[in-house]
Amino acid sequence: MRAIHLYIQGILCLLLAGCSKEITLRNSDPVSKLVLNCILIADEPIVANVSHTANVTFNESMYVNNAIVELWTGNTFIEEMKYTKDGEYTTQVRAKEGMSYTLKARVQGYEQVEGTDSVPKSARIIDSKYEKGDHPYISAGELEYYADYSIVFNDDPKYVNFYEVLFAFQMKDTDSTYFISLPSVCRIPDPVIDDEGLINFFPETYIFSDQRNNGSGFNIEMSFSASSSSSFTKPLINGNDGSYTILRTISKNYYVFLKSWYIHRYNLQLSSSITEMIYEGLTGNPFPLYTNVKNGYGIVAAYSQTFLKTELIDHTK
Amino acid sequence: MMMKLLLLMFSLMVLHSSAQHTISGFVYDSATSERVIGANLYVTELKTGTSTNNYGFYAFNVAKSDSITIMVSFVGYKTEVVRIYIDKNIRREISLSQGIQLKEVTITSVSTSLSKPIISILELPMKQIAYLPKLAGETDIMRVFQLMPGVQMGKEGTSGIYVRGGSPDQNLILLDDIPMYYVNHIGGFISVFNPNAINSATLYKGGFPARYGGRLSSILDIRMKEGNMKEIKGNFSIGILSSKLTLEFPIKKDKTSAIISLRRSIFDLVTRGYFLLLDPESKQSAGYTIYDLNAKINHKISDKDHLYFSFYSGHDRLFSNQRDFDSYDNKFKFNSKRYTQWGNTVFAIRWNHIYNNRLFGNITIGYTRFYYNIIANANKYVTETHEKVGVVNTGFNSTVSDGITKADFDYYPSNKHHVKFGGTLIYHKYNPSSNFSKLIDNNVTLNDTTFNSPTIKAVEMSLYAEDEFTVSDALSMNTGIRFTGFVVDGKKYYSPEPRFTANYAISSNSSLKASYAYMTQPIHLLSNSGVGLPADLWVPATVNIKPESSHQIVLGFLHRLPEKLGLDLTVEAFYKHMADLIDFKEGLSFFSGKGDWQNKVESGGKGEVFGVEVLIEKKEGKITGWLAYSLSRNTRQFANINSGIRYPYVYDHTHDISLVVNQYVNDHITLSAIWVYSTGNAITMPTNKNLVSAMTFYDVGNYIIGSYYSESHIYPGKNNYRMPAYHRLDLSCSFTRHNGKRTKVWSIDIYNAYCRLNPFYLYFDKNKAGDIKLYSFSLFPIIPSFSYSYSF
Repeated sequence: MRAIHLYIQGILCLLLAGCSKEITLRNSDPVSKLVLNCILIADEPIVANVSHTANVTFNESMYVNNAIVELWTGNTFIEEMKYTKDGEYTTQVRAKEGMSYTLKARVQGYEQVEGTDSVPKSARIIDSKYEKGDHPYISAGELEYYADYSIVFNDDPKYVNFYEVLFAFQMKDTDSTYFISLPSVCRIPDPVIDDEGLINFFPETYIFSDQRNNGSGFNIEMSFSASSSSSFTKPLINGNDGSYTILRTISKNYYVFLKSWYIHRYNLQLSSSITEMIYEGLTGNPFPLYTNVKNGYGIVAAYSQTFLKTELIDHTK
Repeated sequence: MMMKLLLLMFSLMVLHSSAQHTISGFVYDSATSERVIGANLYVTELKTGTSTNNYGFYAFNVAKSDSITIMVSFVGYKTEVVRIYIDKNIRREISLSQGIQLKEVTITSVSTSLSKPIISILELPMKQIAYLPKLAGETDIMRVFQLMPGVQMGKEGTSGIYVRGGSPDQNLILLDDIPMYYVNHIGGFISVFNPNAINSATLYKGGFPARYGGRLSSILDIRMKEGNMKEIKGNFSIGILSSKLTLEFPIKKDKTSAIISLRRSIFDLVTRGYFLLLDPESKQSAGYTIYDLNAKINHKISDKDHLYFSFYSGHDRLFSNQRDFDSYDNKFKFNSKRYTQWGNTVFAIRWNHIYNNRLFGNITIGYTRFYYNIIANANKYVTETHEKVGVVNTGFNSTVSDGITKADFDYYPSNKHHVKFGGTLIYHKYNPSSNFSKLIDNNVTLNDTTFNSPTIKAVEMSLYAEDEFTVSDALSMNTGIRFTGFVVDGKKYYSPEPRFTANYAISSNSSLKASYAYMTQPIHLLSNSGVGLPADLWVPATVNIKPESSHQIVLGFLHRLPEKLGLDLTVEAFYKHMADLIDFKEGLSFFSGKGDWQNKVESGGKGEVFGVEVLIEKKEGKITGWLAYSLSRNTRQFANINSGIRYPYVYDHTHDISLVVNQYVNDHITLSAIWVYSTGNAITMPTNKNLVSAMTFYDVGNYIIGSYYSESHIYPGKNNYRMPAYHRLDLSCSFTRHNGKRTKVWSIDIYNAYCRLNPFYLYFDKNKAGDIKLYSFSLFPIIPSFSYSYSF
């Protein structure tokens, strides 16, 4: 891939006097719709976020702060969720495994939107490892080693299951932020993960179905060369600082959404620089993002998760 | 039944022909003894005409003991009048002298077209295009074709051609009868065709004769020069992009000649010098090299036999090298090389034989190969001992190669018939992608792997027969059929391809034309982008992916306006329907997604293109040129792309206009101007955005921010948005000095003279006030250039 970059740099040498100018965006769709987002996490209070769609050039907050957001389970109304801030609506009701929830949001001037999903049952991690020293490579003339992660768990044969695996390092950064690092450049993917076809889209989490190994044990092994890191306002898990392997049993809606999200994100083609634009010319065409929200956009999806703390075993020392 | 009819027709033609004498031979350039392709011959007494074939051969049949007058003409040559008394079969060679070429610029031959069943053909006068405005000092035949009606350019500055709504892979580009796959240098900035080595270039965009096949949208038939049979001639030129040297000379006078032409870029010399200038002890270098080598040997074995050997090799290489850089502990040193390269190799051996006065044949054996490589190589040495202890070798490779055998025959049974028949056998070998990785450290092999997409071997064969015949004084036709077969992995695709073109002369100045052609294409191009990168991959039809096919209907009107105006008018309307097209699945590219390329593509796509093209040419006088206008619509439809809804092709240009004007001031100065206008490209543009619950890491300048909410885009449809229209003006002034046999030409060119900022791509960004706005990036605001050419 570096050689492709090099090629692109060469192309740039030819672009003797390229320049940019502002132009008018024509024919942009002015119709705005409600956007409802809610990830239902087992044993966690339900939090929804309501916003609206906007023109690509819109540069203000898209959050909707005056929505009426209702929480339902089947045909039973549970309660109206309370607005907190930045389009967020909360309830003290905690999502339960096996339960189906519907969220409805309405605001004057918009069509009512709603989305439904069920919380899947969690799976138990049997074992997980974080090692270094088995898979060497050379970077900038130096011998380096990929970081190797593995996770072992059993699949419940009674259900069609979808999973998401995260190999995370989490550390409390300040009083209100958490430093989170996730390996994002996978060099040696597990065949189960590779089958999903997402590795080249540089996901930070790894989703897969049990289609290939229904009811049997999973032993996922992957090697990474680089990570994505940043500070977040919420932790991934409630735990101390350190490395964790997180296993989420995810709903089909979450699986389809996340799959489309990684492809959508990779093909956004947002860059302003000629280098990145030409590089992005090697990506695919824009990809529509999955939504299960009726009359609007966003996602209502669910997962339950378990995690295991891991320690680095460094074979190079 | 069909075969019996053909045999009956053939027998009747033979019987008829036995009552006549034949005059045949070659038309030569008197100065070089090169054969003249496409020269027009008109027999005054018989009121019939013909033209020389691709090897300069012609034949007429006349009644016994007849005297005839033949007028022989060709663009750039003085018309020759030859009077011959016929009392037996006669072989007559005709020489043409070069004439007033600077005053003529013509892209079709109306006098021939008025009476012949040909349509949608564009011929480039190679000698004249040197006077058209250049981009960075380079004359490029592909970019001149972009000025023709029905031929569009893709991205600015690129030399790819989109013919009647087709994609670049749908152009069969033949160099001396051998197909070439990727014909661009520097991402399409210039084509691989060095004009100094090219004799003729003919583009068929419709009305395809049966002798051509294998692509849907066009046939570009390029013939290399043969080499001067009489004396040494040469040309040297230098411009901003490259330098060229051409030598043509007799090896044995009037018997054997050769031409060698070399073009080389000068970027790498500049960049190497730049690195040395920065640091005389520099351990690194980088650059970009292109070269084209054309060579041809032309040997006259006898009056009846002629042998040609043609060779082309072209290459792009982007490289960066580092040497003797130290490891962090200074115990080791590393040398590394990285390069991306691609290129073509083509050779052909052709043997012409005149079997008798009415039968001319040519056998071709050839080979073509296109490759694309990305290689990274590093070697590790012990600093003290210089012992090599480590190797890293990784790369990507893609190749396509063909071995080709073909036979083509011209048969002249009577003046009413000109029959062409023949066949082709091609052995294809495709290796769409191969990734390899080798790692040795401290003399231990840690990794040695190769991942290949399966190599695909296929055989393509075709047989054709066509007859250009005169039905009456007004009506003539070319009917033909081509049988094609493509065998891949045990799967066989067969297809009869009927072809038909008719010409009806309304008057001596006007004619109506009509044609139908069915074409198939057993290969596809997987295109990652519209940028024209060589990373686009050639793949064949497979068991699961059918060959592409098209039906094209063309109606034409040709009119020569009154002589005092000196204008010719051509109007053509066309409809083209394409089937079994392929494209990447939404969101996927060759570099993303999983598995073999066949898992990443949508097949069974349809394309529909229709339009009207107008061409007005002024061919003679001090001011020459043409105006070309195309009005067209171009769409695609795939079951699983854009929800199955038909959408505009990226280069769906409603309007395309080209105006070319040449002012012949005097023998020393020629002025030229080009103005082009085109509807903007169709692109997929998000109209709205929204927030979604998705954890992501945003790269903002030099730092990363993390969020559990991410911005996503809403696309109302594929290619829903039009980029701003494209237009520009190019100017050129050429100064010519003749000194005996030596000619010097200085050329000053201005590309995009009024500095139109044509969009290369669009993007969103924040302005100084922090507002998000749409921006257009433009490549070439204005580019003045200079070139110099010396001929002897």
